[in-house]
Amino acid sequence: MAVVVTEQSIAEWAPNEKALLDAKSLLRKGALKKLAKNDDGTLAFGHCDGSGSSPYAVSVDLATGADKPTVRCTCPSRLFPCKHGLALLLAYAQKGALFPVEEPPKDLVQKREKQAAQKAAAAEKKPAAAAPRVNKTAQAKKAKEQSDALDTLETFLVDLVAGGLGGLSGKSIEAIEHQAKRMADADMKRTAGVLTRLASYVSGEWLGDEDDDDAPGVRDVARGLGEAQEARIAFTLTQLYTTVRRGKKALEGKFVEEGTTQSEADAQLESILGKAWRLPELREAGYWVKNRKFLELAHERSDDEITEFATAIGFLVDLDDGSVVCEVTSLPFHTLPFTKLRASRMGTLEIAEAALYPGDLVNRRVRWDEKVEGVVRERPREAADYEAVHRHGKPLDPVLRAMRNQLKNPLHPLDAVFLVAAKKFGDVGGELVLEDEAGMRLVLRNMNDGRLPSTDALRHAAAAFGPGTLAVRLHYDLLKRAIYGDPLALFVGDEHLRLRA
Amino acid sequence: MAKDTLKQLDRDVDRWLFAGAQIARTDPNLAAARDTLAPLAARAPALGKVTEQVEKLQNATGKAAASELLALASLMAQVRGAQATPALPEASGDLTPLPPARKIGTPLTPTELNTLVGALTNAPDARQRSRVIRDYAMSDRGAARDLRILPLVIPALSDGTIAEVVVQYLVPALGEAIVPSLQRHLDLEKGRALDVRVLRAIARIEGAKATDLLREAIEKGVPDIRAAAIAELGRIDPLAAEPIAIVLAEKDRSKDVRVAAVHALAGAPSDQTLDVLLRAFGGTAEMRSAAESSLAASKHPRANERIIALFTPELRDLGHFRIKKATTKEEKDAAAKEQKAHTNQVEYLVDLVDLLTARGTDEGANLVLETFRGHKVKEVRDAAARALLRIGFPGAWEELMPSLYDAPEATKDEFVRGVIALDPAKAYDRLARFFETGALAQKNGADLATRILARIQNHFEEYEENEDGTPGNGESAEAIQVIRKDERWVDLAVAMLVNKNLRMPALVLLANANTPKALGDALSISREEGLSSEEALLVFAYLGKQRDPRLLHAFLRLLEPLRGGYDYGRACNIMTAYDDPALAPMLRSWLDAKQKRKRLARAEATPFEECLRFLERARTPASAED
Repeated sequence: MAVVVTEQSIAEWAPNEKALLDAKSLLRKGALKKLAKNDDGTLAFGHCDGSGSSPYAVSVDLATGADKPTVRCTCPSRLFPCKHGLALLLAYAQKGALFPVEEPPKDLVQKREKQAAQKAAAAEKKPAAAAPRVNKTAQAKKAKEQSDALDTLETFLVDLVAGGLGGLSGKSIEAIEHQAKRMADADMKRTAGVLTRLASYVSGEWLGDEDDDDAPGVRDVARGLGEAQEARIAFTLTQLYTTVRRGKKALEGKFVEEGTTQSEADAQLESILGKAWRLPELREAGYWVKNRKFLELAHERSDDEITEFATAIGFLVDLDDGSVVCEVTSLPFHTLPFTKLRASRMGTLEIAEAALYPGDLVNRRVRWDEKVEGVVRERPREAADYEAVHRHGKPLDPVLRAMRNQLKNPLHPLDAVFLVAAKKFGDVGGELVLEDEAGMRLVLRNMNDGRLPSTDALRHAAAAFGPGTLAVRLHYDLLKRAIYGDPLALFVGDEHLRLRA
Repeated sequence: MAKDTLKQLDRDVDRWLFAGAQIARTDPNLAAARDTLAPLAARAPALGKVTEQVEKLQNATGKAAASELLALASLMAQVRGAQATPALPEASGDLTPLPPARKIGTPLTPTELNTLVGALTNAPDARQRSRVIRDYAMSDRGAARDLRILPLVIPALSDGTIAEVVVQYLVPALGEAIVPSLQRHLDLEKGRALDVRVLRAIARIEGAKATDLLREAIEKGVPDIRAAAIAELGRIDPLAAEPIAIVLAEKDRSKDVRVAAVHALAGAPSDQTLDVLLRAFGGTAEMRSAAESSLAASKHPRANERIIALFTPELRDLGHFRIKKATTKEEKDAAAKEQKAHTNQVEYLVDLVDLLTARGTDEGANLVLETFRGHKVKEVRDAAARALLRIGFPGAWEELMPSLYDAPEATKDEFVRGVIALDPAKAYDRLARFFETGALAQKNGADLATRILARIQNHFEEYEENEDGTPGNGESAEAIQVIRKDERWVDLAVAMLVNKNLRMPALVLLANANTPKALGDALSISREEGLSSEEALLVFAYLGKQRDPRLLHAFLRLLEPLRGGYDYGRACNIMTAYDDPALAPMLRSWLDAKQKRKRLARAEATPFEECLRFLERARTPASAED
């Protein structure tokens, strides 16, 4: 199975902008020479003029069994792929069909065989997906630590509320941060994250307030909390309290008896008690799907300055059942110079098997083992894929019902992505409004003030292409106490108009 | 009723979290909510739960009240979620249709979009902004035709760093989709720098369709707008622009507009235009400069004849200015006036000579040659020589040569550039004579040869591209290819290594040409005593690109003339790139010997330590792969 090479995918593989620009420049200068491919077109090779005394031998192997090609070049660059490799990829994407067929150099064939042999050996060595061994003593110790941490957190929350949040001080922020550390130590990282965020709301850092206090290391409460800030603080506190209550019950194993679904109970093991699911565990627990086709609706990257994590989320629609799932990659800031977040998926994904994380969320997380050959294939999109997207577009009423269902759980996020069949778009009092077949309306408004509001892009797209199926993130505004739509992408016929920057 | 009460209770709970649990439990709103909800509890179990929790809060004291308030908040969050409704538009009424727009897709991937948006908005991590914008705008797949970047175009047009590349490349790539937005922001009467760019952008997209707008701009706009409008009109439709430009060139009150109008007449064919241009050529320096470029490009059948006719017998016979004795003020004023008029005439002649050569006709060039040979005024003769040298005029080499050796530096450079531009393939035949022994022995002979070699080596250098795709080193792409292929230049540089004056530019050329031809000579130079550190580094750079076992010893020899951390750093970079493990023990021993004699400061030793760490690293077979 050969990797599909497009100009877009090359842009994703490039280590940085300059390498890509230099590659294009090499292509324009005609630096690539003696270009050829093997008989099945999975190996392209040639020479590229560079600053060395002789041209570099550069090649691209597309039959890697993964979603990226193997690029080889004899240049001394430490970038991977180097500009010469990228130039060859660009040449192949543009004129690969015209490359003459030649016998590849022997060393390339040998390298290819060696790589295949290494993969086969690695696959053989890989132990069968055995269930993890349970260390009961360690488990009990961890449960005790978590229970203690939750007790402390509960006492802390009660103390905060007893005096009222209006009396928060710089010391309170320190205390919140201390609690966050305590939760992180007890392996409840998500709760630690919520506490860190609470500290930032209280100090005003969330709004970009700079602390101009002379004393280093001491943060103070933001002067005059705004309504939006207060709403967030109150909601975060509620989330923390709910976390304490449910966390304690989870530690006692009392989830299912309370009417919570098994799926949600398992999800809360992750969200509250910090359980890190491994793929074999998910398979064993039945959170597993097979032979699915996904099409990416939207791809977002967000940088959380508070937790110092960068996250890429691809919202994918399951072309068979219409559910919208998300593919998540999250990396700490400090690793970003060395590795890249998952890129956008421009084709249709055919997944042989994947884990679908538990939970009653609208957008469940999907994950597969990229290292297993044949698990994922990305092919060019077809008309039938777009037809399926339109078929899965729903009117507003069922969409809102699903949204309410998610909102009922205070631990769930306040937003979810849906596919909505729009009958028309228009303005009401300067606001962009979607109307469905039944005449029901949704006000479209961006969740955050980004550089490029997607509502502006939607105005243009809808005016030019007409209504269609809208991938929209419904979000509950805590201040307005109402649901708004944040447009992500518009599908009109075979057009996929991505609206987010 | 219940819904309203729940909504109010929900907001009250948030308020109480800030006010404190003690205030909450005694708040009259809490009791009122309980009273309203309690009767409904039997019908709606959810309301029963809320009522029950409200009562718990009312009855609790101390910290228990806080705990109950938190429980109530958690319950209300669930109720709030279950009752959430979509927001209503702030106004009521029917949907107003969206204003029509042109179809334009979203071909950019998130990574590409992020890069382009960064370049347009000067994001903190944005690099090479103009190059990125041009690259996307020129992409074969029309990557820049993305509706998401439309809102960024106007702000980008206000950003002086990238405005020109946006007008020239991005805006035409976006096409008509951006026109409505440009038109909305155009204010002809204000005429800010942004408006000028917007007008040019519209003209570039709409071409002939923008003619009416350009006419309106000429009529209503401020001078900058009028100048831009006539320039664009002249580019789009020279015939339509002609009558307007003729009027503007002579009657507009703004000098910038008159100059732009003269430029706009470059492609106009009428007799009237030729008259206007010739009159403009006789005007102020700026008008003459504009007229010179328009006349140089004029296709009028009588243009040559009329331009040659400007060279009147009076100008041909113009002599030096003779200073007359002046005693009275009137006499002095008259003499100053006369001198000024003479200076103007000389300047006029200098420009005329340039124009005649720029026309590129034999008749014009011969007239300039005649001027060079016989004009009485030295400035005019020099200008004629410069003009002929600039175009590499081959008709009078021997005559021009002495002028060339004595010519100013800029003229020498222009001459070399002109010869290469005239025909890069023949550049060697024309310029090699300056490297003959006799020529080098001439006064300034070595200087001229150095300039030629420096210019030629520029063609061998690795270069980045400009925004418009041309080589960033200022040479033409065609000349670069031809010169690089002409092996005689490399041979000449090898031959010049023996000449101490020309060795440095020759080494630079050879290092850039990456040729093994000079290996033997370079090794010999490395053995020479008394090499300067600059020479040593150039030999280092040349040898670093070759492969030969003898080089390792040469590297060590070349380290001796070097001084200071900077020189050592450069040498170490070359040795690191050379990456020969056999060099490591030799370099280690050299370094140890130096340090024993305490000849290296810490900063000087650091590059060697780093280089050695790299050379002495564990080498595995895998390192062969990129």
